[in-house]
Amino acid sequence: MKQLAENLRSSKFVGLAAALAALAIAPLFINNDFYLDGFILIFVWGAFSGTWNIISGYAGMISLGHNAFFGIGAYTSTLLFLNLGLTPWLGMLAGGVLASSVGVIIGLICFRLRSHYFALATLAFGQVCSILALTWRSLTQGAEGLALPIQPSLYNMIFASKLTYLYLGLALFLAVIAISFLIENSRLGYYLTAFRENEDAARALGVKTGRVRLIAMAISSFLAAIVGSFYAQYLVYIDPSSVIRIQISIQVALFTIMGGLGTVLGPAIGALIFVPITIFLRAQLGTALPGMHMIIYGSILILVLKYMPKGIYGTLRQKFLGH
Amino acid sequence: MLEVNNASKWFGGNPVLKDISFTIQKGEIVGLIGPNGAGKTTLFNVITGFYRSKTGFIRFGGKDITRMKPEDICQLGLCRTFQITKPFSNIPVLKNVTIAALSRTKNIRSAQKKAEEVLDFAGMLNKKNLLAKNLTIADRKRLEIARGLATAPKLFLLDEVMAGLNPNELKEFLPLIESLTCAGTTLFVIEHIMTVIMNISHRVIVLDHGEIICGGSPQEVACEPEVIKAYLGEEYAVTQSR
Repeated sequence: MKQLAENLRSSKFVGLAAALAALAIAPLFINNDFYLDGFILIFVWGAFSGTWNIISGYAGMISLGHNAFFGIGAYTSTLLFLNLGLTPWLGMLAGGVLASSVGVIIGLICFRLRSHYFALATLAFGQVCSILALTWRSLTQGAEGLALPIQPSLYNMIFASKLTYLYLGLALFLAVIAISFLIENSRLGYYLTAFRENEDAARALGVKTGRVRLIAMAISSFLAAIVGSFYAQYLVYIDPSSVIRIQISIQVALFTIMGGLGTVLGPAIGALIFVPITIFLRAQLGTALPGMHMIIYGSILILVLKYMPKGIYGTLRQKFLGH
Repeated sequence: MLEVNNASKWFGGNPVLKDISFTIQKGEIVGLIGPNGAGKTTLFNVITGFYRSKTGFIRFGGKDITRMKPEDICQLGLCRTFQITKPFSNIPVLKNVTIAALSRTKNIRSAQKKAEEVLDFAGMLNKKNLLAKNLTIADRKRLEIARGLATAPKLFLLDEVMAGLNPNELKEFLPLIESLTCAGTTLFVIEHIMTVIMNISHRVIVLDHGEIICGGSPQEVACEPEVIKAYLGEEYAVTQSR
């Protein structure tokens, strides 16, 4: 009986993975840039939400400064390429390491703050980084932004076909899901959950709550920067409003919470559902009734949270698996 | 095994613990009693690193733990339960205990196995898939004990694990306490239920207003006029003398 329940559980997981794979293969048969772009955006936001979930979902430390890590990734790889000719494949790693170091420093300073105070401190950090990108014109060109030369090549990590970006985005998306799965089923994941649920009890049971959060922050900010670099390579042009404005943090928080905070698939499913909704609403209503798409989007968010307080995946999982 | 020397703790200008000194030997079961607000839980917090003693030192297994963090003290084999239970509410019982067992192994599977053993010992194996927030008070108290045991403590501090139970629950709970005492773990127990503390303890320490007013075998302590006055009440003195 126990075995059966466990098999059922894993088969459900395999089923969901198969569904995701099917969704990933579907775009290959669509020769339409608008839809391809939609899928790439789903993968970018899904992956980014997954990285955010590692520190904010599992450890419960809601970060509103992840736009900074995303932006650091985007700017580092782009600047290294423009100024030193370094391939973005390496620039991406450099951005990850930089973001990760900044993340650990922020963690060291802010981890003593709890819940909303931590959120506010990271919000301030994210805002400062965003303003820095706007005003440090000698480095970032400010609001003018930085354009990558459109010379498609593997070394430049710029491709003529959107399909290549789609594959890369998909790889990133699945990699973040896999990493989340590994974390959730490792001692790190158990310890992060313990911290989120009750810090005193966790410490009394030998959980080094400071260290595990720093590790989670380092992983989360590293991966966020990687996604940011990829996004920059896809856009081929970055400015503060596209890669480091504070709304980006709010957006990933929304996708994750809508999908299911602290779950492996929640962030991915949140992005899968809500990225298309935003694109569709903007395309259909953006010009006809200015602002209307935001009103409808907001209403959908409110309804989901009212009837599925643990997010779409989180609530369904609880209903069918009991936890 | 545990040596508390001149420990004291102030909250603001209030002394809560004053010059507390005592030792616990390996294999002993020591009771800690005293009226509400005497400082019993504070003493537990000081020993386990949640508070820091202002004076003196605390040694565990020969090692100075006065300034150590709770998580490191737990790794040394000193674990405690909480009087007000602190379950990891939104996760299943088994995962609660597995987290504790992970303090001794990195492997999730072996931690789970250990957790199941401990849950079986605590009589909760049939509830392992329930979310901790759905447990009754009695089961939360059991969970506290199970989690503590999963860290394989050499010295286990129990903070009123039987408080708030109704007579029926209490009857079901006693075998667990008895099997704990039989298992040979060194125990330091805060408890208000006198019949229990008097039965299981080899030695009792009485705390009042942050000071140890008396210590000795349960019989000695129960006859001490100061203890009767501070804590047990006249009625108990009468039943004892009969």
